[in-house]
Amino acid sequence: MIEAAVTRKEKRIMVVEDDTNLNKLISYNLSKNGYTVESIYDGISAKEKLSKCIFDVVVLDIMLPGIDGFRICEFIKGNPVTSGTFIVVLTARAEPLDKIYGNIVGADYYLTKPFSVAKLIDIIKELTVVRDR
Amino acid sequence: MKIKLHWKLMFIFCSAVMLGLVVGYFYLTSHLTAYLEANLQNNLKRQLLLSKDFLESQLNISNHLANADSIADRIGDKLRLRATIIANDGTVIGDTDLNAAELKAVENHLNRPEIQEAISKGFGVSKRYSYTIKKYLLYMAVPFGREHTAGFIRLAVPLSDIELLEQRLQKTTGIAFLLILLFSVIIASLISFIISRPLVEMAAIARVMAKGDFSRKPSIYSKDEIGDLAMALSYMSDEIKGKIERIKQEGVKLDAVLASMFEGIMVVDEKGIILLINPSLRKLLFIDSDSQGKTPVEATRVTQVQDITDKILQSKQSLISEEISISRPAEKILAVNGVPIIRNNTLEGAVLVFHDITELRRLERVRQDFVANVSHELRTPIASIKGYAETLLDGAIDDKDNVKEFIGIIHQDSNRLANLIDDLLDLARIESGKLKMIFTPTDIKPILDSCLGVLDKSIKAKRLFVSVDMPKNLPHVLADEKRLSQVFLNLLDNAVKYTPDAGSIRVSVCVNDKLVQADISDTGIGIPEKDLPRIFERFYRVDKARSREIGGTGLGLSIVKHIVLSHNGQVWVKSELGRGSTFSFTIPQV
Repeated sequence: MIEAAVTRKEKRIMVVEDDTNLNKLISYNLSKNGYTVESIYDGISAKEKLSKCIFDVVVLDIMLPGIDGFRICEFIKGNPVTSGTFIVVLTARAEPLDKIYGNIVGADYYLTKPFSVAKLIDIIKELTVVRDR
Repeated sequence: MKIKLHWKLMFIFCSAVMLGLVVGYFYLTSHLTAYLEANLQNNLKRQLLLSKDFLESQLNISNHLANADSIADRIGDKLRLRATIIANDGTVIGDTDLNAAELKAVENHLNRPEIQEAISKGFGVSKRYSYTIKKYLLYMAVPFGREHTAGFIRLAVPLSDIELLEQRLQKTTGIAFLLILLFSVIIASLISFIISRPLVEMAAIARVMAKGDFSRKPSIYSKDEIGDLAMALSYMSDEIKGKIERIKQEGVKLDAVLASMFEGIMVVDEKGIILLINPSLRKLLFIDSDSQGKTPVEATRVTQVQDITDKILQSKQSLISEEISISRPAEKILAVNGVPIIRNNTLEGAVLVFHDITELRRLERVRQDFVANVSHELRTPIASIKGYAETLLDGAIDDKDNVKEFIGIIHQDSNRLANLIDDLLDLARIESGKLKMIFTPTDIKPILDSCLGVLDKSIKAKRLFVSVDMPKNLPHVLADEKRLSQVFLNLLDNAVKYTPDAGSIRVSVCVNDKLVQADISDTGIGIPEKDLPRIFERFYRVDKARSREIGGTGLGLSIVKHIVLSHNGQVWVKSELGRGSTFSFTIPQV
């Protein structure tokens, strides 16, 4: 399945963010940059979707209703099918402990709100290019 | 065996007296006996010399004595003793006790010691047993006669007479001495009683003193060593009493301090056995039974307490601080500080102080959560504003389909941010007490009317039915008008927001005891039961997305709660999911 993802031309990105305005912002910008975007607003739906589809990158908020972002990180990295998916954690929680914890559970990037949209796009571009190689 | 001083003294006195008497008795009796004997001998001698003169007067010319026996009888009769007249050849010619016939049978007396002595010295004395009259006798003889010796006159007294006299003497002195002894015993008894009585009394006082009774004082005022001792005892009693009183007071103070201390205290000895546990610790660790003499783990059933105690006693470190969590009787976090008690370089035990820091930790967590929440709540709208602005600048401004919506979102999120900042500042001011509330008698009706006026547009837009039930003569309440308006506005605003179109809102105000109670009921979506206890917590949202959608900051109910509590009122909520909620609060009457 990973092979399938690698060979796909369109990169699939899942945006998990409970704030509708932010979700819309990220989705809009990613779409504009040519990515296929799935917008998810809570942890439970995210987990359901992840069980069904393979994504190249997951943009993940930590403070989510239902299941928090760290649990979803664990879910992605703990499952051999999805463990190749990159995770960009996007959160308002800026405590150093959260960053360390994020690293432990397997986040590839950690962006603190407020963030630069351009930076986010750059990170995702970089990650998907790595995948292409 | 204990021999009382009284008896000892008596024994010493009596022995001394007895010794004196015995010595005196023997000295006196032997002395007197000798005197008596000498006296008797002197008398006998004088009588003998008289008898000699008499005999010499009876001598005829030829120096011969006629009728010697009758003379002897006369002398003996007059002097009441035995007189013997012996011729110079030793023949007995007269004797008081013998008649003429008997005289002839008497042997020659020339060899008798007294006669021999009289011949040689002119005077003879002898003590001897007389076979003639079968008695011990004292003999005394002198020669008589003119120019040359015609014979000898001898007088004899029975020694038994002297013995009789001696016996009488001994008897009299014996009785006298016995009487003296009796008196001595009585006097000795008295003296020993006088000496021993104060000692007995002081001993008794010392004994009751040892039992803690200091009321008794020795009643001895003699100005001697015993009096000194009594005074010293009295002084000692006062001193000890004072010291004990001081120690008791210290103990009471210490007990009071330990009992009133909020911190739990445990004192153990060098072996780790509990000496003391104060009431706070008893309560903290739920120690009901007597804990003295037990080990910390036996008393507290908490192994960490034992570990810390062991650590202090082993390491003798000056201070050991640890945090322990216990689950019984309740979940608690305790800070334990322990120090060893070291005196003169020897370990005597340890003191452990327990602070209940559960609430402190909880508050710390609440504060941390709050900081995290505030951070999140502030960062999200800023991220949105910043992101959309960036997107617009990056070219989306030309995206005709979206530009208006994006600008709308920026506007909405900046409003959200502004509201949040207002609410946060309000809350911070109320909580810190910096918000000056001016409590004045306030009429609720105009406040309620103005709040409904503010919300009129939303009410009309949702076609909500609002009813107000309020008695006409409602008493004024003691409140800060502006803050009370905020309470009504927040609660009514929530009711409007969470009630679907065409629903109804009912406000009823009534008097309840000395309080005025307001109930705001709606036919809205209601609150799940599990969320009810946390609904007044800061940033607690039942449905985050929905709250965001309707522009809630998550602080409205928290502000309501703080304001009502500042008014000495109460606030609570009842709700049924899907059917509506009723928020109630009370405010004191004027």
